[in-house]
Amino acid sequence: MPATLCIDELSVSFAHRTGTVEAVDGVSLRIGPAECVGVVGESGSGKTQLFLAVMGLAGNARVRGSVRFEGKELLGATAPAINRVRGSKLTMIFQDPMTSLTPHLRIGTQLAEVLVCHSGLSWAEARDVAGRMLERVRIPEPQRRLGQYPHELSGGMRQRVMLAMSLLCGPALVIADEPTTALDVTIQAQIIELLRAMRGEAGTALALISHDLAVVAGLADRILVMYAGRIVENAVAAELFRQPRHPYTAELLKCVPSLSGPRLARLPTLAGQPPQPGDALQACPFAPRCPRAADRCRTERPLLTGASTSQVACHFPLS
Amino acid sequence: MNEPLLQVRNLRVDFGRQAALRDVSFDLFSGETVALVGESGSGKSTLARAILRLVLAKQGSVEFLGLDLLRSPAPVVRTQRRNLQIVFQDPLASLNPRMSVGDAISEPLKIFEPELNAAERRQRVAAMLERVGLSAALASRYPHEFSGGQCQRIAIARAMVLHPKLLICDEAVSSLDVSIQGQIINLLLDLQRDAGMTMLFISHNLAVVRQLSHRVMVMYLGRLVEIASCDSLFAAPVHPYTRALLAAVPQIPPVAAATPLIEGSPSPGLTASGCAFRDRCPYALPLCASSDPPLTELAGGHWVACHRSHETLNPLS
Repeated sequence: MPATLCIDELSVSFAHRTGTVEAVDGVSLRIGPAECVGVVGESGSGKTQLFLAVMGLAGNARVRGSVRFEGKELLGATAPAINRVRGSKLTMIFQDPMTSLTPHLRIGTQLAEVLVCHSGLSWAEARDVAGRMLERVRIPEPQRRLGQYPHELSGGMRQRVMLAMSLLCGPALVIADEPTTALDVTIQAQIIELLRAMRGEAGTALALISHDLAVVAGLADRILVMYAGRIVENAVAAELFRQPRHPYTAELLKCVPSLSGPRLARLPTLAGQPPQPGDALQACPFAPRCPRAADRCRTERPLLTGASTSQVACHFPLS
Repeated sequence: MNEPLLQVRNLRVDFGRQAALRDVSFDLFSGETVALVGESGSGKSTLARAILRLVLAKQGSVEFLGLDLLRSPAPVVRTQRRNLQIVFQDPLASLNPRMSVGDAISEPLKIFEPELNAAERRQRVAAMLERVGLSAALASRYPHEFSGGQCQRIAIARAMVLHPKLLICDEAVSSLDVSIQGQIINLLLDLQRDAGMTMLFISHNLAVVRQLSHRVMVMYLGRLVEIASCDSLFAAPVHPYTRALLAAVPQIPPVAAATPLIEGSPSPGLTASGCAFRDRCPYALPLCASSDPPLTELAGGHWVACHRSHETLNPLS
C-alpha cells in the first residue's frame, strides 16, 4: 500500500547568532493510509517544525529533503499546487484553537469558506455541510453555533470547530499539533474520544504531535520519539511502552508520573537538560544525559535502523 | 493536631456579578503539602491571590500565624510577607528581565533583612543558588540566558531565600518538560523537608499531585467539593466530580475508564443556587438544583460537598 505521507531526509534549519540551528535534522518517516502515528518529544525537539515544514508553513527556515503526499512532491511545488491539497486533503490543527480561528468571522462563514474554495460548493450548500460536520464533532445546537463568533465558544468547543474544519473535505491526513494541551483534563478526554471515533469512521490518517506520552498512548498505532531534531525511536505503541529500546524513551517513560503503582519518595528524573538552540551537539545528541553512553556515542552518529515498525537510533539499544 | 498555620474561613471573592470563590474554608498545618486541584476557571489561582491579598475578598477571613491577613492594616500584613511566598507558572514572566538573577534573589533580603551588608547578601544569594542546583557564578547573568527549568529554580530561590513558613506553588511545574518537572518537584520536596515549610501546591496535573502531597483539595467553580488525605482521595474518591476528574486522566498503558466521561464543560451560571456540578453529574437529584450541599466530614479528615456522599454510587454504564 503506498504511504499517504512519505518524508525523506528532511532538514529544517534556522539562522542563529552562533551559526545555523538544525531544528529538524535528516528525518525520514512514512505514514500509511488510516494510520495514527504519535510524534512525541520535549519542547525544542523539532516535532512541530517537522510538520510545519510538511505543510509549507516553515516561514523563513531553510527546508531540505523530500515530502511526498499521496505520491506528489510538496517541497518546491508551486503555491497553487500546494494550495490544492493544503486545507483539503492535508490539514493541520493547532494547540491554541483561539488563535487558529479568525475572531471577526462567524463560525459558519469560516467553515463554509473551506468548501467554497476547495470543493466549489455554493455558500448555501457549504453552510449546510458545515452544519452537518459540527454535528459530527458533537457540538450541541450546531445551527446556532454557525452564527456565533469564536469568542462565544469555550476552548473545547473551539477545538471541535477546528477539527470539523480539518475534516470538511475528507482529508487523507490530519496533523494535530498538541490538540488537547490547552484543554482541561475532562475536556481533553472528550476530544481524545472524538479523535478515536473520527478515525474509525472516516479512515483518515492522523499524525498526533504531543509532549504528553499518555495522550498519545490512547490513540496512536505507532509512535515516533524525537530528540534534538531527530527521530530516535519508531515503534508500535504497545511495544514502545512495554519495551522501549532507546535509552531516552526508557528514561522519559520513567519520568511520567502515574496514577497507579507505589507513591515514591522522590520522582525519577533525567539528569541535565535537553539541548538548547545553538548548543554544539555530540554525535548522539542524547549522549550527555545517557546512562549507557560510551565513546562511540560521542564520535559516530547513530542512524535509525531496523524494520519499518521497530527502529532505533542508538549504538547500544536496550533489548 | 497542632494549631493550623493558615486558617481560611468562608472566603468569598466576586468578579463583577460572578462568584469566583464561594464559601471556601480549610486549614493548613505546619510542614504539610496540600494540593489544590481543579480545572481552569475553578478558582485555584484566585484562592492563592486572595490569601496573599492580591485580590480583595468580599467575605470571610484568612488567618496566618494568628494574624488576620484580610483585615489587618497593610503595613502589618507586609511584615508577614516574608513568611508567605509564591512561585508562579511562567518563570520568565515572573522575573524582571532587566535585573540580574543575583539582584532578583537579593531583593527580598534588602527589604526584610536590611541589617545585612552587600557581602553578606552576596553570600546568601550564592548559597541559595547552589541550594537550587545552579552555580553561584551565574548570579550576574540575566533571566533570558537561562532555560525554563533554570528560571523556575531561580524563582524558587527568590521565594525561599527568606525561609518562608508557607510556599504557594501556582502551577509551578506545569510549563516544564516532563524530564525537568521531576527535578523541580524533588527540589521543592527537599527544600520543604529541610526547612519544615508548608506548601500549597496548585496544579491541574493529578499524577504529579499524587506523588507529592499529604492532602488534596478539589475545587469546582469556586467551591471546595472534596478534601481528603492523598491516599484516600486517589484510592476512594467520593465526589462525582473527583471521580470524573480521575477517570479522565490519560494513562500508560491506556485503561478503559470505570467512571463514564462527563460531558460538557463547567457552567459558571449554575453557581447562584444549588450544586454547580449538577448539569454534568450523572448522579444528580432534583434536590441538587435547589440546595448547595455543604462541605461535611464523611470520615476522619475526609470532607465532601455532595448530597449523595453517604450512598455507594456505582459506576454508570
